[in-house]
Amino acid sequence: MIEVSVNNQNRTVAKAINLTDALLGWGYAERTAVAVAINQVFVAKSDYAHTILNSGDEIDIVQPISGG
Amino acid sequence: MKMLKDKQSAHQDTWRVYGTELSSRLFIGTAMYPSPAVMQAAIKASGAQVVTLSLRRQAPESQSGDQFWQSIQSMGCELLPNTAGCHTAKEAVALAQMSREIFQTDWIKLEVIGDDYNLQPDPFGLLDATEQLIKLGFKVFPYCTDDLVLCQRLQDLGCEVLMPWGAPIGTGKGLMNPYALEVLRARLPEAKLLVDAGIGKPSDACQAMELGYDGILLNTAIAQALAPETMASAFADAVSAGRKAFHGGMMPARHLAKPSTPTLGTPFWHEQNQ
Repeated sequence: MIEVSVNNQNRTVAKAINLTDALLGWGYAERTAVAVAINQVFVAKSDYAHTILNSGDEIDIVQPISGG
Repeated sequence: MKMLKDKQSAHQDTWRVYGTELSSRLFIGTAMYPSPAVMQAAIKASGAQVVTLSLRRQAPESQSGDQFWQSIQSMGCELLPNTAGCHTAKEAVALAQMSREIFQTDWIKLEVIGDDYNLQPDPFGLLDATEQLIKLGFKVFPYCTDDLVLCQRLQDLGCEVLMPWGAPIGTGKGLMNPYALEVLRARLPEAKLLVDAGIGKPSDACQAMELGYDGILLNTAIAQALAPETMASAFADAVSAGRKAFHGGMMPARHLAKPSTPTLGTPFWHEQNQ
């Protein structure tokens, strides 16, 4: 198991898990309007399946919100 | 819907922004309204065709993001996502890419904040992020200060649109430095200039348009008004009036009074009155 940060919350996930499976585990599977960055670098949806999480990764998952 | 059409018909001079033709010169934000219904009514009343929105962390169980997104999509406006809250070029570039994926637009209202006290844009981070984003194919709408050299550099990088502040975000102080805004207009005649931030009253928007600005972007002044829908309509009228005044060619101000009624033949006039 490894420790990562998801939206500033500590999470434990399986070693060598990919982003697709991690998002599924965190409950974002049904959300189409989400985007992800790891360590402040954008990860395209097409790259989720082959993006492997590493210990200490800081993952940001965002959704639409109002803005000015 | 009729009101939207009425408002749009009041703006006959269409313009193009990064290849998109618009008839309204008012862009409005989607934040801080008392309710989603009020937001939708205000957007319609404003006649705005471009709305700003953003991305934030949300828990997976939260439905608010989806509901907001659906309500915005139903309005059919052009979307201008922002990078509000970013303090570095790296953050802004990442958020812009996340926005493009979700909102399916290469437009980005680029904000790189340099100081949290007045939310002043960081000119150095802004230039850095602009350069990176343009290379990635974005159409950048930079939220910037009214510094002439900064705006020249942004234009040199390929920004067709520049959005200098009128005053710090959310202050409603109006145009704090009309001279600087006038200089920008004079020195950058090809740029599409919008005053973004600080507009408090319709007269502020009108003033910017009288200076020859191409448009106005605002949020708080409408969203936080007692009656946002009414205020949105007032802003639409003010933007239109300012634009017409700019085209009409305003008289130069003068120091001395000059009667508008002909003086020749003034009754009761006697030479000794002089």
